[in-house]
Amino acid sequence: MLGKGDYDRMKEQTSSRLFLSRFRKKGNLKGVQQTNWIRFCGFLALVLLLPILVNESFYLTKATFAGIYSIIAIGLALLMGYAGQISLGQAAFYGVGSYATAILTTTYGWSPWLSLLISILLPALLAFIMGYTMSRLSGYYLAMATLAFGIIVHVLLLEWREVTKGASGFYGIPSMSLFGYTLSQGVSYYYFVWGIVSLVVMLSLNIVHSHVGRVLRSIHDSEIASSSVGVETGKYKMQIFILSAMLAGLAGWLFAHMSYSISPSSFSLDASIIFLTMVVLGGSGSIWGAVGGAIFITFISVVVHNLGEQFTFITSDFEQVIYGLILVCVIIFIPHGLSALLYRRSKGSY
Amino acid sequence: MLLEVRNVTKKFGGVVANKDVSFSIEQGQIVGLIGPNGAGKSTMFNMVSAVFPPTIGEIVFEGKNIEKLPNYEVSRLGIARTFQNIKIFKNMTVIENVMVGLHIHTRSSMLSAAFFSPRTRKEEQILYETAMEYLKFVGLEGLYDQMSSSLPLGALRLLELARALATKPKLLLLDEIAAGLNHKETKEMARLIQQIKEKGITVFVVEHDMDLVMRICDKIIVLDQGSKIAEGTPKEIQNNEDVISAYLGADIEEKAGEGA
Amino acid sequence: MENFLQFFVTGATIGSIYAIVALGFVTIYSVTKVINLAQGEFVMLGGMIMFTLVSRGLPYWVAFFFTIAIVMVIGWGMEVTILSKAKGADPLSLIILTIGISIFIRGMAGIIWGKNPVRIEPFTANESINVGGAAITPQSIWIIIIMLAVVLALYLLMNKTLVGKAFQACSVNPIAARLMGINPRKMSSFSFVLSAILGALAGLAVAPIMFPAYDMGIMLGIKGFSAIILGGLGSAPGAVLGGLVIGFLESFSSGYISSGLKDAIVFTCILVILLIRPSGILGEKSVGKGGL
Repeated sequence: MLGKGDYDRMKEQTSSRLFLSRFRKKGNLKGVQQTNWIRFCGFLALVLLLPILVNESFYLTKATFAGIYSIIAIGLALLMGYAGQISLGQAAFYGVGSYATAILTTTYGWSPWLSLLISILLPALLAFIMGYTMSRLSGYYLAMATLAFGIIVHVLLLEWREVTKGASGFYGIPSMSLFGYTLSQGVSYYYFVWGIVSLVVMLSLNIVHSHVGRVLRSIHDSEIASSSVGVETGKYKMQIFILSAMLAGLAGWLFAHMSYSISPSSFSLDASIIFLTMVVLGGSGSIWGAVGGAIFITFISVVVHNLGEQFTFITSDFEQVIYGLILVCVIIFIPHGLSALLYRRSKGSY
Repeated sequence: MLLEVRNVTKKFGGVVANKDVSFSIEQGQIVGLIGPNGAGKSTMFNMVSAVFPPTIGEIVFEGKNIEKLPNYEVSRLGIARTFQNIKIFKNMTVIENVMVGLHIHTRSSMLSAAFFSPRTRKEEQILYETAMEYLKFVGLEGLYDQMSSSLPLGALRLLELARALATKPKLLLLDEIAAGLNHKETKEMARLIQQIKEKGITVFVVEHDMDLVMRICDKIIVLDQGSKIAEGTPKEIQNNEDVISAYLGADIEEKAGEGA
Repeated sequence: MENFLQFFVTGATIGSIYAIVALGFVTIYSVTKVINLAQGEFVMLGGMIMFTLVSRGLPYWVAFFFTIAIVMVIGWGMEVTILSKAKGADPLSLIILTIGISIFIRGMAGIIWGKNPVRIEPFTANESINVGGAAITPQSIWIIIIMLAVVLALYLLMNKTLVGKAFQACSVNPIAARLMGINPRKMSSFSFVLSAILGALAGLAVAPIMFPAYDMGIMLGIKGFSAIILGGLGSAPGAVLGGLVIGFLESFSSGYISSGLKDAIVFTCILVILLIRPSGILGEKSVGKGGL
């Protein structure tokens, strides 16, 4: 069995029909984490049905926001749960993606589809630079570095007035169109955002349940053992960090073209902490948990908002108190988040 | 020569863990590294597997200097290891652990994984089957879908062995692989190590179980207080005055320590 | 030159506040290995509680000590109710936990005190002293004196008293400390109490020059955290040094460059310093690669 040249054998079999038929029969790799596609279809059905059940525009806008946050939360969940690293500056990538497209489309008249590239690649580049220079840092030092990065970007958005128009915000961002159809706030944008969320979920589930995902989990479990079997741990951590930045940039792009205006306050440290809360609540390392966490937190803000309309003493500070309580309670009572409560990780598919 | 350690010294701050140690390992042998507690055996192992570099000296594997390489590259060159205090991926099943061990023989990237390309799928299938073969070799095939955190110690040692073998090493480092095993399990382990040798893999062991070392090793290297004090066949080592006094001395010190 | 002197004094003043906050971080970290990101909230509570007590008619110095006592109880309560439940959690979880506590306290403060900043009288008469063209307020001098007093008091407490020895023993080797009959649980509570006192003191000292508001804690907490990271995690002299460095960076960059950009400049400098010395200025332990 040893030294049989499995890789050569693999190449042979790639072209072999025999192998393909065997794959269909034995496709069930028991004992290996795999995607539960039934759950994914259920999710798609819910996404499709929601606008039929809820058609008040306020709720639809909130549901669209939940989708945008889901994308950021998925990236952060991959970073925290798979690379075992914390980012207290995720809102910065979100902000860079958002401002990049706002400036390029409004000031320079680019097409939103062209600026999408920049909205994704610029955060990726920043993440690469950060990851490259901060590769020697870990633990609290890394938390500090990401925190500092988030604050720097926030300050620049506020102060670089010629470009970002400062604290009052950036106005007049064009909405985008798809096949000649204008996507504006409401049902069309809801479907657009959740369509992208579904795509992101699918791609992330594929990554997580592939050999790459397994390697990432191994790094989280024991970095030293992982590198002892030849895993370039640094490379994989960097890839995940870049991926999480790209997803945040994508979310920023969606956010900018949904809103007519954006301002730096959406990309402050508070925003980073809210993203963190979503991931912690859902359970870091779980894609579904991240989506659930984003929806749940958005739901809370809606509830607080509605209560606030009826009772004047309920202000946005209640949200902070609730988020704080969520973080504390989850870490103490359910450290693996809600997803761990709902189904056992050990059963494989999640 | 498969591996040559040349004048290696390792200092941690002011503490000298290894002092001017040289030895070599020939292709196809089972070589033992022994010595009383604190002799610097684990430090030497960590340097050979490139967990950290030596302070002074060279480590040459197949004619290539490896002392400054990161450990994932060293494992790509063909050095695999197990750990004294087991480092299994505990949030994974048994077979997934071995599949990670096959990592250097995979090619799929994050991008191809994201789009679940046919190649990725085929690779996954082959990883699975190959991993199963390694599990069969160490006798864990029945437990393949168990969470590895639920395994007893003996099975964990075997799983680590399977994971290390999955990298297809030329040199396999076993760090106290029999520690904590009962008599029967130790015997089984000795048999496995012999089989691994028969596959043409060179084995380098750190071991406390003298019985095991004397039975399986072709050559033994003895460290004491960081320096090499002897090298030879098991028979030569058993009759070496320095070795006996080193072990007796350590014994007496330990006993004195316990008494205090 | 006059400007320089003015910025220097301002830097020393805010630097001293950061140093006290940072010492609060070190106190907790050395015993429990927890970075308490809610440390800044102690400072905020110090200022806000003082305001409430004074506006209720309590004499200034009575209110002063009452405030310290109240914040102390809050710090103790935090350790007993929350952090003791999270023993053995990894750094990542602990960071999240203390962030949770921090935003909880901030939210509560927003509900209780509202969003408007409050005003608190300085310790003594408020006429600036003119030294070489720079106007120095007496409160600045008080802040620097308090910082020096805190450093001295901590030094004496840690090195000359039994409780300080026990404290140090816990931080160096908790298991051995337990074997010697020291209760690490008590020491952990003690560290939070001590750290809350330090936070409250910083809040009381800075309140007259800063107009405290419910959300002042977060930035102070972050600056304190930066100070200990900069100085080298767990090192008390490093914390003071880090705090002062950040204070001076902030004051000079806001004076000579732009007050809006000061935080960006400060944090860029911190990143650059971490790049050169990944374990801080006075940190010795290697970070990054963990041993076996």
